Amino acid sequence: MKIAKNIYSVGVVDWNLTDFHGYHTSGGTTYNAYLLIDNKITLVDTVKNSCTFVSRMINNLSSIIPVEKIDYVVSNHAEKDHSGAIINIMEKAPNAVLLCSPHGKENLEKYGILPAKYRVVGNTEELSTGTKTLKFFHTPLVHWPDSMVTYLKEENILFSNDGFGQHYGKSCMFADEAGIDIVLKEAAKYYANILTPYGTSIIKALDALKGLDIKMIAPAHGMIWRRKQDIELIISDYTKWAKHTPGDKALIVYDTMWGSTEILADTCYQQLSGSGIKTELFNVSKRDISDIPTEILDAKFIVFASPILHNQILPTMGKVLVYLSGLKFSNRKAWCTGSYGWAKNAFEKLEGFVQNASFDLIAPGFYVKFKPTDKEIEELKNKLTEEIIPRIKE
Amino acid sequence: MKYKCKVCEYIYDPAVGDSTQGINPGTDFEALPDDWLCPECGAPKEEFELIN
Repeated sequence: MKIAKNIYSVGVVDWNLTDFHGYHTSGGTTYNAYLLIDNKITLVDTVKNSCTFVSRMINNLSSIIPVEKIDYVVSNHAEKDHSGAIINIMEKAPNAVLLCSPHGKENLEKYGILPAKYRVVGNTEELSTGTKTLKFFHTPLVHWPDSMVTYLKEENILFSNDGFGQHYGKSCMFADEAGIDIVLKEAAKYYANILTPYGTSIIKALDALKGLDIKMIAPAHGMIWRRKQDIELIISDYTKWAKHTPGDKALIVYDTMWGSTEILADTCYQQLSGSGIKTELFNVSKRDISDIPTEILDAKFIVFASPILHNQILPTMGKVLVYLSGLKFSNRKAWCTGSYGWAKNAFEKLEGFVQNASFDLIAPGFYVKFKPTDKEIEELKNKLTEEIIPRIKE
Repeated sequence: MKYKCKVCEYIYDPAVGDSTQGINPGTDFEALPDDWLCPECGAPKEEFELIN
């Protein structure tokens, strides 16, 4: 499908994807690849290696040019959802040279898919394809050490690979066609679950790209950004997220065994909401773990509430906190509460997990034996009003 | 003084330097250029912390 003069989207939609290495996608995804026709013919990225995806991509290419005419294959990122069909293409295009970053070369080699004909491109190196120029920018850790982006200078198109992507599969190609609100929401979910740990690297990458007059951002997943206002919006969101700018709401993340921790979570919810703080409840057993990071992007304060099981926090909460400890959100305050039966030592572990996940624990938690009594509920309300809420509002 | 990358745990040792980016042995972490990156994972200098 044509996205600009002599530029085609030749990737595939993965309609049935629900789980992308633990990230639960709500609407499939796409593996985008782009074909640039000039004196030299260039393919930017490929698709995930499945026989149907490879077949579809080759058919997409063949409908435009004979595949053997491809001169360059750009591998912006060695992860297998983009590099999965490199070998298939190189087999069909014997003259093609693969272009990648230095770490890209190492990683493709480790995967056993580095072709014989390859060339490592330098940061900001330019390559003429005849009448047009490709410029490569190394963008390490957006998303892997090998990540780079490719800018087509004359057309002002940034092939951004994982950056600005969304796991969102549709038969249309552009964010404004799919509906900008849903695409922005999916871009936030993607950023939260995939790119949150790499904020400093993303700021470096955004700075390096600042001088470019970008008129289209064509990522390797999801919809293409082409309207000026949408491009400005997603770059502004990325800048905000990469700086770990806190949002304005409170989030109560909890699970419950026999309803006692739920009473504590709900008391927090009512008290915080009642004080004018926008507050949301999130039961980790009933909702999707991949939505928690997305909600935290917009949050400034998180309550983690867990019961105790076998002298550990409930494993469902443990899973969430291990996941969050990898994402390393910064600039978010947190606090803990929960119910125990006879041993409460595990709450030290809960607080340790929360701190290990880079949250700023603002005070010791509030823990009750079995079901909270009316008196304990009053104590919790007072603690929230006197100690916690003023800290949230700081 | 040695510094550790918070992303991949690579340790920058000034006694060794970093030959992959032309950094001679004996170069302090503070003296590394601003655009120096972790040779293992590409993280920028800001992602490094002093190890005692």
